[in-house]
Amino acid sequence: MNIALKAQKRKRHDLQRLLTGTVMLLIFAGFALLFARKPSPQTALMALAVPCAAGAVTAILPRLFPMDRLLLNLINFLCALGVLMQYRYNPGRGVAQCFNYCAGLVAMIACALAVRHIKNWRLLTLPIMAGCCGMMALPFVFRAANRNLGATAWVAFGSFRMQPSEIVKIAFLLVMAHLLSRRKVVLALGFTGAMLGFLVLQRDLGTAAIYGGTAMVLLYAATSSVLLILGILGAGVGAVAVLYALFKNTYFLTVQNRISNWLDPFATYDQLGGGYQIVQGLIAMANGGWWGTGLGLGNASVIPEYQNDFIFATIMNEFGFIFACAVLLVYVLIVLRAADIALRSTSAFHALLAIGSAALLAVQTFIILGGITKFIPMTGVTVPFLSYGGTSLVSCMGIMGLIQGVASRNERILHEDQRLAEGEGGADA
Amino acid sequence: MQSNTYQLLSLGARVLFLLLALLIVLHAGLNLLQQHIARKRLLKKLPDAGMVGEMRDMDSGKSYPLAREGVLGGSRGCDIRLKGLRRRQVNFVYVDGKGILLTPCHRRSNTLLDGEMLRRGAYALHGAILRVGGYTLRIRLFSGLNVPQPAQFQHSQPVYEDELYAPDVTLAGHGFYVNPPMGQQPEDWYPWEEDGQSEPAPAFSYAPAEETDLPPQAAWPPADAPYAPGWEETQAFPAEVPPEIPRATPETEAPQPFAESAAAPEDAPIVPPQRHRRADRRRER
Repeated sequence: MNIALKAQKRKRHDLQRLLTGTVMLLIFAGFALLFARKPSPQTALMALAVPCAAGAVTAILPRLFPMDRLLLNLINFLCALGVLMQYRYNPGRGVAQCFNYCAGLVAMIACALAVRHIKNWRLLTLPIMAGCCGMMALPFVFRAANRNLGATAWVAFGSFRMQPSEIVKIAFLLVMAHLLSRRKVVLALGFTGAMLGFLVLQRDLGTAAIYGGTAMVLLYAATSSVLLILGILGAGVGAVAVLYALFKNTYFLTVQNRISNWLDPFATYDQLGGGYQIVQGLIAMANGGWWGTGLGLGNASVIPEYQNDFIFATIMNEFGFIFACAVLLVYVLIVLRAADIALRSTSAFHALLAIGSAALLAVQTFIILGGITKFIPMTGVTVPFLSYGGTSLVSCMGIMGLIQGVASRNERILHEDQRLAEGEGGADA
Repeated sequence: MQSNTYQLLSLGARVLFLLLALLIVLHAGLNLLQQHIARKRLLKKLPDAGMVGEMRDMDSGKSYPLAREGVLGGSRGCDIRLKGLRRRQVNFVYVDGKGILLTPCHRRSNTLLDGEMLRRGAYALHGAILRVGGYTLRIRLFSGLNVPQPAQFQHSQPVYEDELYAPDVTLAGHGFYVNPPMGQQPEDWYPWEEDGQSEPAPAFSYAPAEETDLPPQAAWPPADAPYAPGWEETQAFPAEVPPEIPRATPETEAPQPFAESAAAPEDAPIVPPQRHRRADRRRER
């Protein structure tokens, strides 16, 4: 490698170190402010531990495992911001989110290594598909014990609770990428239909929308056929119309409520299951204004599920609109980076995997942020990396692990090409 | 801390948070852009990056770069597009240590790999010939790839340049003689008998040739013998040429394989495969 290339690489590394440092400083400042508000050893420990952990993960992990530093930095920023916001409202929840982050890191490393090293996914596809169906059927077994806010998407084993549809997202991406890279469109459609069927039966329409949106993007990326996409969309709309006619007064009452809450949340403000949540979210965001109310000075905790679905509203309340736009831009940068990685990939499977992961993240972010800003009807999904919840964080980190795996594979192939071009021989050289 | 002081501190910290968040976005955006540009520059320097070789049309001489994975077919979305083929004819994937895995996209793809019908997946090595829809394509891989040597190129012992053109000789008797033609025993055909001598062949010995009265040997290799550049060019075109698949015409949308096959021109140039280094090609450019 010549000197110019080395200098460029060093410059990029310097910029990344600066990025890591900025993330660490922001999180440290946040926790320091919380410490100033209510001094406690736990807060002091968090003020030191969380930024150091974010820095250490970015510095050490790429040396041990092949990782994309930029993605890692951006993910760390979002996760640390999530921990900060959880800790600000409920310290116990903040500490628990730290442990969730550690579990997410393990999931990310496992997914990255799997994508990098497993060459033949053909043998694994069928077992994974069967596993997906089994996992999605679990909430029906525990339906009575786990009814949660209208959706029966949760499973509890003692004190341990999880949402199978979050974990299945990773498997769904792998299966769809594999099937579509082999041009098995009908099978891919069937698998998507099965997953959507499970989710509709669980009344988890938000997650169903994420699955459906991701499948559309993957289908278009694999086939480049607008007609196919339009046909599937038409069939989907027709199926929903038929189902609506059949279950208008039973199943679709929830959907009707959500749509009426979206159209005029103030009309149903004081009704049970009405527009109270949306209205409170809008008030919190408006209260924040351009610059925010200040960390620790907001009152967004009046919003139901402020730690999950409405975490973005709390951020907007305390940090302001411009800061929230910056957070939104971080999501955009993550998606752009993932798309860049997908475009650089040399195999259809890996390209589809990366683009599917990016699409899933983008669709999920759009659905929840569109919901809380009253742009689209509200559906209960988590904000990636920010919301409280182990399953959600592990799932998002696992999806990032898939992208990291594709990125590391691209780098390996590029290095091999470089070596071959320099005449040093191939893999056996 | 007092409530008022904390309020002041928190309101002031908003600016810091905002600046840091904007810095994060700016740094990340710049980094993304820089890496994108750096990669573009690198790929300009490595025009063959992501490729493992090429497919050369034996008739027209056109070369198609061979990616690590792709599809050969007639549609626009194919990585190697040849007119007259089905939309998707053959999938190809480079498998490290094994070669190019060719898989037909249809049950009746009518594709021949080295003269054998490609029914399921088969590995093509360097120099393999793929006949598809009237095209004859020679697969050429870049050197340095971790791919096994084709069977016809494998030698148990090294072959030297002079051996390639040297006559098949055996030491016997008074010196050495040319091996007899097929079907004849050595004692039936001796060079000295052609010269009218009837002396029987003596027992085996390593007597030097100049002590015998053998006719003078012709100079070898002959002056007009072509230069032997290496073992690669000894690979001839397959002796048994499989039936031709006629090239599709505008009248016939789908190719009609094996129907009224047109014979390949006898004097069509046969380009031997060459394993070449990318560095050499770049130098040539």
